[in-house]
Amino acid sequence: MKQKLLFTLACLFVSISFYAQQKKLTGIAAFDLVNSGALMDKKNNVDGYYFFFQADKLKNKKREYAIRMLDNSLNEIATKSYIGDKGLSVLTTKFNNQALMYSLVNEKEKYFKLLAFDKQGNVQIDRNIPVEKKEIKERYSRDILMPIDDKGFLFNFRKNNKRSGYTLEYQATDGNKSWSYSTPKDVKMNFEATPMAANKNYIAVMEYAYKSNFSKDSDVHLLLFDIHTGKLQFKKEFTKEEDPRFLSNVYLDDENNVVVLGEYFEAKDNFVRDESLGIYTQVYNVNGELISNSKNDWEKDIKPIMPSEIGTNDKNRGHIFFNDFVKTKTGEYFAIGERFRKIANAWGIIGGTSYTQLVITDAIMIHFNSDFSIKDIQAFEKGKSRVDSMIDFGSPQYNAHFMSYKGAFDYKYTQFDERRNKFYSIFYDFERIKGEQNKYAYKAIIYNDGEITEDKIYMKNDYDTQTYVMPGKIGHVLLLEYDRKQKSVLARLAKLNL
Amino acid sequence: MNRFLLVVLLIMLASFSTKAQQYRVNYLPNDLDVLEDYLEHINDTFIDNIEGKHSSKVKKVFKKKDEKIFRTVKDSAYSFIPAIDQKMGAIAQEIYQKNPSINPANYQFFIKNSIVPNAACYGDGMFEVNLGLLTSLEYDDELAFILCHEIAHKLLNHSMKKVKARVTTLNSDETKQRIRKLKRTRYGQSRAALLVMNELSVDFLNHSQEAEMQADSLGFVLLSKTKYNTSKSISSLRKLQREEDDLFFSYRVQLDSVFDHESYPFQEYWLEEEQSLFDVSEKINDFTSTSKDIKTHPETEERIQKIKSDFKLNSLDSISGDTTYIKSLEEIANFHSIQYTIDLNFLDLAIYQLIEKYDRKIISEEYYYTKMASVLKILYEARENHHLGKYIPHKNNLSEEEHLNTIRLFLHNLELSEIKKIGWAFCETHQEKLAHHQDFMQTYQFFKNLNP
Repeated sequence: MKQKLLFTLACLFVSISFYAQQKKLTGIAAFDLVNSGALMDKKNNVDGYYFFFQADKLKNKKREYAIRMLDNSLNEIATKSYIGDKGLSVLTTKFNNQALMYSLVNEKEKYFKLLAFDKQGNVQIDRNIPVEKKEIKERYSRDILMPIDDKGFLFNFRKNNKRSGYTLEYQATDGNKSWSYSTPKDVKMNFEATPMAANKNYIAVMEYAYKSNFSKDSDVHLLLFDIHTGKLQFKKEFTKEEDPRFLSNVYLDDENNVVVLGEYFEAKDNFVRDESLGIYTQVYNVNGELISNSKNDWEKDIKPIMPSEIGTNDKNRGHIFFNDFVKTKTGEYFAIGERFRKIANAWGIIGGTSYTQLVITDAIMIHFNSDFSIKDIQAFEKGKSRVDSMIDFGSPQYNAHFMSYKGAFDYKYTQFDERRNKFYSIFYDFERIKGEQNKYAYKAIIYNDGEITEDKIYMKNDYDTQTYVMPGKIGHVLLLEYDRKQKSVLARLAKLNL
Repeated sequence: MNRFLLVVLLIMLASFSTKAQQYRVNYLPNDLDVLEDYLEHINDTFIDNIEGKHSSKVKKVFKKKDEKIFRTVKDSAYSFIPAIDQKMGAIAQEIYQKNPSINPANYQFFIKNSIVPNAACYGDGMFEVNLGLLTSLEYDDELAFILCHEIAHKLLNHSMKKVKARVTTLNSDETKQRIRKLKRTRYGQSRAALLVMNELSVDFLNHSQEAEMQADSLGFVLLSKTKYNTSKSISSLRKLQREEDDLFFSYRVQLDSVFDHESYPFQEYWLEEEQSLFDVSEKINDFTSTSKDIKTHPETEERIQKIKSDFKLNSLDSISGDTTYIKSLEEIANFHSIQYTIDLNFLDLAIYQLIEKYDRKIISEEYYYTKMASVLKILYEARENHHLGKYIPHKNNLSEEEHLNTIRLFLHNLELSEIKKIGWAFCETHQEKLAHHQDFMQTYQFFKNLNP
């Protein structure tokens, strides 16, 4: 249901807002909110917030839209008018220091739209990309648009031929050439793309290749594109038969080398269904030549120094699901994960939905030196979460991957502050304290200046107030406090403490 | 009725000390119920006299206004300072006595916690004077003119006329017809409605400007009957012009010198700016055509010229004025305008005022160090509890409050661990001079415990 919101001009009428006719006027001038969201970059930093309204019906099936923009400190900075076809809605919005780009969809007219405003608030790019209805229906829900600072944007969407494939549309905002790359027509596999990293020269993309939706035959590929020409610089295939690997994170360093981080598997293992052998980092040069390869084996390197689960003496209880990998400016690495185990679900066996559950406990952080040798492993206490597995077959690893996709883990995101070489990993936490009411919190594990610290923001949820937490600008979270009596929302930023 | 007069008298006659640091302040009146009754009484009396077309709608507006005022009183928007009430009351008495046409029975001046130089008339007998007005004026005559101006608004029934005019316009056949036409509009309905709203708001604002000119003229006449010098009407308006010319918050606060300590030097990144989405100096809004230059008050220069020409005032600069009350009013207001910002956690305003008033030698060294240390302690506690965002807005690139913005940027850029070290360095640097000062030493101990 569309939400009716009174619009900004009403502020002119604060002093006379009690008059009946005035209410009628503001009612007529009320805009329909189509959608809203945050402008978040690849490092999960929020650059601002947007609200997309339909302002007016116009002739010839046209509509006037109002796009209201707030900066990352919640200051309202612009309300732009845009006249376009009926039925537009925003998919996502990103900022690259040169332009603010909206990717939109029109399901009825069957196109995606790229709409960008320059730094003066003028329309810089307004481009329609015609697609098939099925391609809109099956569009990606994330990694659609990647901002590349001071260069352009990469728009990623499903493009079908005989098989399911993808197209990458690079849209330059610095005056250089725009280009496009699509999966070849004659291939026998399906492909999906996830843009992973970019700098001023190259774009790194992870490609997931699979025969069919439930197929066990799937591979991961790493592709590197020249940002100026769109030329495919190299394609590295981590095949299931020889070298199955999962790419959790990719970095492009100052020398344009591609640094890859993730988990590796035994040959012929499936990276989704099977348990990994350990974690790795590899470095490739721009020609795709491997120049460094480091591994840490679970049994040999990690388990002997793994801390016990908090509250127990069991060092090797359960498994670790890695949510993210981070490389700092000083060349150190961090693996961020959560401890979990798969157990039988008594209620499920009696007649519930799932026979098994995942029990998710401590947050785990593995700190590596720049040569990828393990420096330290720390466990951080976090309230125990239980989630129904939903699929009872398969390995705990498979269940964890599936449940992670459904958002079942407590990990939310990691923000990386490049300027100050800090990062903040955010988890949802649930505290059970004897004699006290259970508390919900956002827990942050923060790396700063070689040290790891913790902070926690409690969410007030009682008869009067309901608190929601959303990502904020770097080092902050956005708290939305809903006053049930006043039916009003107070939005404020809270800085994470270190 | 007697009960209300008693409240006024009690406030007027309360004892006070001339030493500003020792004056008594409350953010709520001693008896909130009595105040509520008073506000309700003056409002009811005012509403009872409303007659004519749309009177029920007009009454509703004033009733809601009254409720809003009481809510702001409860939110500590006002200060109850007997010392200020007594001195300002003496100036008001001079105006009442020399102008028998004024019936001040239900009049009450409230002191608003705001450092912006301004005053207001609510129409039913309630007036407010901002603390910032008392710190901006030099003569009793100037304050007397401002009070006369506000009383003139009441005598001319401007508040009532304004509301009536708006209700009448909004309920007129012409407006109703325009709304009916708008409802029938198939395309561009919202745009058309916004256009009507813009036209109405321009019309309303033009009426407000006329009312200001009228209040200036009658205020001048009221002042002319008192012992105060009418030429000071011009200088008082010039002082209010500072706000209009964006000269308010114009003092350049040197944070990199105030918070630069040998044991913990100032870091440049504490003032590091963020990348903004747009390089524009004012908010972009494609949906308004109302000029930002349209204000409720006419340009001050226009007002000054009108007074000069209507009342044949010529060269005025050399004329001195009465300073019987204004100096102590200014002193109390200066200290209290700092204190309320600390008490209510408006720490950006507190730091701005402390630095400005210390640099201008308005406050003593001892007061400055003690209060700044206490601001740093409150800052630490607010940040530790993740509450700072409730009290201090983030920097707004489109705001004209440049120096206040710099303080906001600084406060929000600081990490908790850095506030801890700044507090400690600040206290340690000045603790020898203030070893005798109990409040300062308590704060010193607080930061010492945090920095073992």
